[in-house]
Amino acid sequence: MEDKEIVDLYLKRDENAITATKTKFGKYILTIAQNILGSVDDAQEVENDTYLKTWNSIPPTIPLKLKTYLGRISRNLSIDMYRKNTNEKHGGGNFEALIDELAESLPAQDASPDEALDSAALSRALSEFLKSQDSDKRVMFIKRYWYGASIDDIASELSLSPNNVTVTLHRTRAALKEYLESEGIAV
Amino acid sequence: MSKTDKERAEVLFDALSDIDDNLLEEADEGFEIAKAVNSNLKKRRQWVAIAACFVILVAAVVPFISSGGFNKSKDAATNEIANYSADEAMPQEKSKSYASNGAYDEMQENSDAESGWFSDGPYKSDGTDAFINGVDSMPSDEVLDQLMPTEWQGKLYVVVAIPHKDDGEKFDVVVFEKTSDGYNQVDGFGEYYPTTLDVTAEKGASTYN
Repeated sequence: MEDKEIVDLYLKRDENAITATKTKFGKYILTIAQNILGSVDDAQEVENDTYLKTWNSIPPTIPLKLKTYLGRISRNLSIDMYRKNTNEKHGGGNFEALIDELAESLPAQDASPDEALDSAALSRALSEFLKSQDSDKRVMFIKRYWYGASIDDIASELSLSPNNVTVTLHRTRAALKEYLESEGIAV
Repeated sequence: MSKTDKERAEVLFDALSDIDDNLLEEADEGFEIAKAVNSNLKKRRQWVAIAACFVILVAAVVPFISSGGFNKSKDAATNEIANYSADEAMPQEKSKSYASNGAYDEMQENSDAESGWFSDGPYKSDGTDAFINGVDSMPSDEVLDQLMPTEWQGKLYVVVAIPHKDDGEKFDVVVFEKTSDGYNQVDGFGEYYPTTLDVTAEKGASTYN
């Protein structure tokens, strides 16, 4: 079923929309959640919540790209669940590792005197930075820090060694730090 | 990393959620495929492990075969084993032990339904046809002495994988207890193919550890 047809089902409030979404994107949604949370049970809960949130948000929202719309919901719900689990002292998964790595990209605080950007502006800046990178580096970075993919998965997919992926990600993080500092972007 | 840096990194991570859709689309190509490839690699590794276990088990049986363990006639061996009652062969205490760790139930679930192996204990209750389908003969005490006994609750046991005579891909796993009178066959998990033999042997072995 085409994405547009699925969206139309949501707009008509036809519950088959959820079945169609699960059939076409269930694995995608679940994989993102599992990458971040590391727990199958939690990931399945996020998958179900993703369907519910999608059902509740379309309409009024009409996503232009259903897949990334669902992925974004799954990612955000996974982050929320991770934080909730951490507060309840039963966290797990890759989230901590991703955050630790990403901290290397933080601009030095005294090198970024401007006010911190709002989230949307920071997202735009990140998009600009990523577009300025080589495709390979960009894809690798997004796979790691958006999709939460493991180093091994990325290496396998791109036919590279895990060490190669690790080094490339390290350089991209350093480049991001340099970019944020040069643009005077505070985080 | 200080808490402040962690919080800042989380802000960065959150902001990534809303990067351009085009960037996400570019990066998600092959995303699930990579998962599948790695999953297949894991499966392949599991198969290698199973194959290795199979080789080890076969290697354990080779001494038995080479020493002529199968030469004993089926009738003679059947009569010999039929002398043991089901109660002797499957003491209640031991049965409970299987049940308590779940291994017994799992084996029973996986066992050949027609053999009645578990419902009747290691031998059928009427004392006949003690052998698992297709197995020609049991190892002699001398052969069992050469295999590696494992102590469990003060008793010595040997777990042996025996290939079927007419189907080399099919095995039975049989447990013998060593007594002052020689070895008693106390349990058996019938008709396993190598894929499940691996699991069975592990379960059986762990039961006796």
